[in-house]
Amino acid sequence: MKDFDKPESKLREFELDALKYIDSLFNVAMRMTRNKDDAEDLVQETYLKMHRFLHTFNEGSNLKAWLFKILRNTFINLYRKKIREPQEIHYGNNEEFYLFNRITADRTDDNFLGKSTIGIEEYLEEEIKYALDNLPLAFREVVLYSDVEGLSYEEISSIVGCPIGTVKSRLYRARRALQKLLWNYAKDKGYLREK
Amino acid sequence: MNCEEATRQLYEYLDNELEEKDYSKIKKHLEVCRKCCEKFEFEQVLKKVVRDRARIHRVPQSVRENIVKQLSGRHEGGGRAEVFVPKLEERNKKGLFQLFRLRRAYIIEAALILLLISVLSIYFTFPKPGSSPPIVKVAAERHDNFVNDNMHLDLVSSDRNEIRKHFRNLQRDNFAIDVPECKGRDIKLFGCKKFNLAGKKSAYVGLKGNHNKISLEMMDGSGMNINKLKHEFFKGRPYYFGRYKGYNVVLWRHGKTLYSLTSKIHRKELMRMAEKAICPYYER
Repeated sequence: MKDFDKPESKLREFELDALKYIDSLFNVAMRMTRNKDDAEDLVQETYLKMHRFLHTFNEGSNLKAWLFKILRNTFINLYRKKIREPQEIHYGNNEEFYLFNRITADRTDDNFLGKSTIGIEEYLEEEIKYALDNLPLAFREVVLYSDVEGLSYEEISSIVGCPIGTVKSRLYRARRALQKLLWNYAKDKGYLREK
Repeated sequence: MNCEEATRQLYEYLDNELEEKDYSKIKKHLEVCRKCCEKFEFEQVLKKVVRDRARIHRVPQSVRENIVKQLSGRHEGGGRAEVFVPKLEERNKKGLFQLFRLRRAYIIEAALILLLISVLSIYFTFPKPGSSPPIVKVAAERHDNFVNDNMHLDLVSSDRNEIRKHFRNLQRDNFAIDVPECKGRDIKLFGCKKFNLAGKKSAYVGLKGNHNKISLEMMDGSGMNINKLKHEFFKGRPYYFGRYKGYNVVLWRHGKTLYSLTSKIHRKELMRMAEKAICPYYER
């Protein structure tokens, strides 16, 4: 027998499915708003909107991507921030795979403080958070969708409303920028010393 | 496949976005090329580190419960309407059939009444052009009077007991609102007044902040529709807001009472004030 007094038992199957993604949505909301209160509000608003726009959801299409799309639109509307495509900056060849090149280059000389190298596994929550939070929003969101939430390029393209090619190049640049931030952060904190 | 071709597709490889054919080509290259293999491994570890370090938040239980409550509450509302509508239609039908059995004078009388009702309902359902929800307008206008000292408040005191005494007569008159104590250090009760709004007994309380005057209005049993206004969540509570005459009006409900705060202060600040200074009082 189902317990019909419990509020959850009144929800439709669809809504119960949607609730499975609540932590994922909250995670992304946290990094989008950088603030717990705002993130909580954003997630609540997302579920209310979901309920209101239920009729626009195509049965069988990707629920998770749809929810992320609602979250993103709500965020943009609430905070009136434009997620503009960041300007393309041309890096030299050495700037590609930034962190890897820096670390392998420095491994060869003994100019390090303490350890001979910094293992990326040692990057902590605080550092990753710092680096993510300092990325422009258009970069930050694609890294979150891909690396953190494991969404496909196609899903990301439907969330941000860009062609897959744009998603690809944005991800590429976002990761490069993230690595640069991680490097600078480690350097500033004295984990690394440059020549 | 050379190193350049492989690294060009590095992220697609790691993101699992390549077709089987291209995927195995790169895989083969990585088996023989140490330099590329190191590079790929590095990026893969970094991807994993980002994922593990950034996936740390779980939504607070209270937020989850709020969402569940709101969603299931909506179903409840919908269900009730479905039960009631057919019954009403049935009654209407019966009434119409009975009309034909009545004398002509009654029919004319009934038709006139129906006409009157429909005219009135059209008048009330269609919003008059340019009119903002009356509650926002009234709140802002009253606040304007209060700020410019045209409004005579019945009491000037920051003592809550004084204000309760003032409302005591009203309470005997089924006036269920209790005046909340303002917990904020910087907010003082300035005065209060009783009045009617759309036929409902209401309390109007003037508050004084450091630089601003703020009005708090409480309407008991107000069925006033504020749902058309924009809303925003703050600490799990929906706040509705509007603007009139340069004032920000923030409204919320608690039980059967409608509360509104009006001031020049930004609405975020008003919501914070409601949350900190007013809401804790009635949620004790």
